[in-house]
Amino acid sequence: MGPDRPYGYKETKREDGSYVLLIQHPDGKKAYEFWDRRAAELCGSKIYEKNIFRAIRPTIAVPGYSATPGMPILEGYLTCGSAAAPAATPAAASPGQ
Amino acid sequence: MKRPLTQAHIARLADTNIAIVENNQGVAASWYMADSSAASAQYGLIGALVSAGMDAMMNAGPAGRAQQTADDLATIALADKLNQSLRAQFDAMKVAQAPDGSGVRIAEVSTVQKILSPAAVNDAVEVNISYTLSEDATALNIVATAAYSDPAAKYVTPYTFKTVPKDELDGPLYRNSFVYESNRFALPTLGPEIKQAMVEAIQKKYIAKTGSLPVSANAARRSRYSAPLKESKDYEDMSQEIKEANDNTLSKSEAAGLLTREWLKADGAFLLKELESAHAYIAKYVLLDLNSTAVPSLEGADQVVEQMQDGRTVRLVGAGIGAGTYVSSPGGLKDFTTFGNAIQIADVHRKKISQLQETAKKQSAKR
Repeated sequence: MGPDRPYGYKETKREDGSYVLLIQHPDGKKAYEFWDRRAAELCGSKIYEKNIFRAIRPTIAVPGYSATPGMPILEGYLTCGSAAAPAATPAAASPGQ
Repeated sequence: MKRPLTQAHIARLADTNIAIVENNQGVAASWYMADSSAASAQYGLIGALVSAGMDAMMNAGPAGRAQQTADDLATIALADKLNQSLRAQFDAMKVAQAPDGSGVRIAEVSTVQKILSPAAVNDAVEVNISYTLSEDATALNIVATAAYSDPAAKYVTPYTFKTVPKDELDGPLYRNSFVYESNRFALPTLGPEIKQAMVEAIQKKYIAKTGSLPVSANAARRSRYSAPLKESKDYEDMSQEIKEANDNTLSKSEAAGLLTREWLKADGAFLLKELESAHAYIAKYVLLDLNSTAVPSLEGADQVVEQMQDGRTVRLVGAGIGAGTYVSSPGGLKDFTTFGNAIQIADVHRKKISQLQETAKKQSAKR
């Protein structure tokens, strides 16, 4: 993800082994789907805890033209495993696409 | 970007006053303003006139609804009440601090009206705050900026630049932002009851505005062969809003009209609770941050500094121009929100600002 790739995903591994996972996708529903898909890839299973703390469409404004809601941005904390079970070993983080 | 204090500054500040810059706008309602001036510019004067007319028509509904939202919220949360609430939280922090503690401590808390006294307050941390409701009224964003200026000490950027940007050459010795994102409401699902409620709300708004429900000028027209009469503007605007309410899409501004009621339910219990939480968070983190000499890395990662039972987290932004900013966000978000490109403030606040500006003019004329 970057200036030449306006949408995709990016994850950052935190010191405690959990992740911050960011998805940018033109379709908000798909953004949620992709968040879960990437979370399952990172955790190696669908057992994980998620806490989405950012779900926003930033305003894109160009003077003289109508402003529009921009690309949906979805960001959340991912902890592999559940609160009851110990966290699974996360898969190696790959660079964002 | 955060401007942190150095250890020497902290020692010099010691007991410092907090000056809360009085907020005059209250809770502003955001919306998307249509603008087609650039697109029509190629058609000259005619194009400009046509696009101005079209923009006015397109903006009438959303602007009117945002205005109504702002007016409704002001019935519970007047700007003066917000200022008092923020001040109370700083007062509470002052009482809570250890009597023999070191570092930057709160000495006195006061408020300052910047329209009447625009100059920086000497030897005080100035706290500015703004409140913006999202376009669909699902969320409220509260942003506070704290700054400390000392004419005797020049700011020296702690960051390394190839060429130091102009805005890093002078200005306040300390500065940082504190963002509080409220808990959110879910968007309502469109159904016949919701449509009916929207129509009733529109009619209520026009009754409040004009004293009675606007009626068609042609209602009493005797013959359908006679020329139709020109409708009043209120009737035209109301008809347009009712037409939009009855279509099968729930626009963000229509949702805002519905959700405003949720914010105001039980004498604004939810709104007041969120405002109190935001003010408590701001008071706590301003004092904490004044005592931190950490220089944010502009390429670092966000750091979670507090995690609450309900999923809310406070994080310290690690990268970009917002580096060093504290953001308190709710957890478990299920939908996206937007904050538009324009805001409406309540009439009561607009009038107060005009009065203050008049007073300021008179004051400067006397000098």
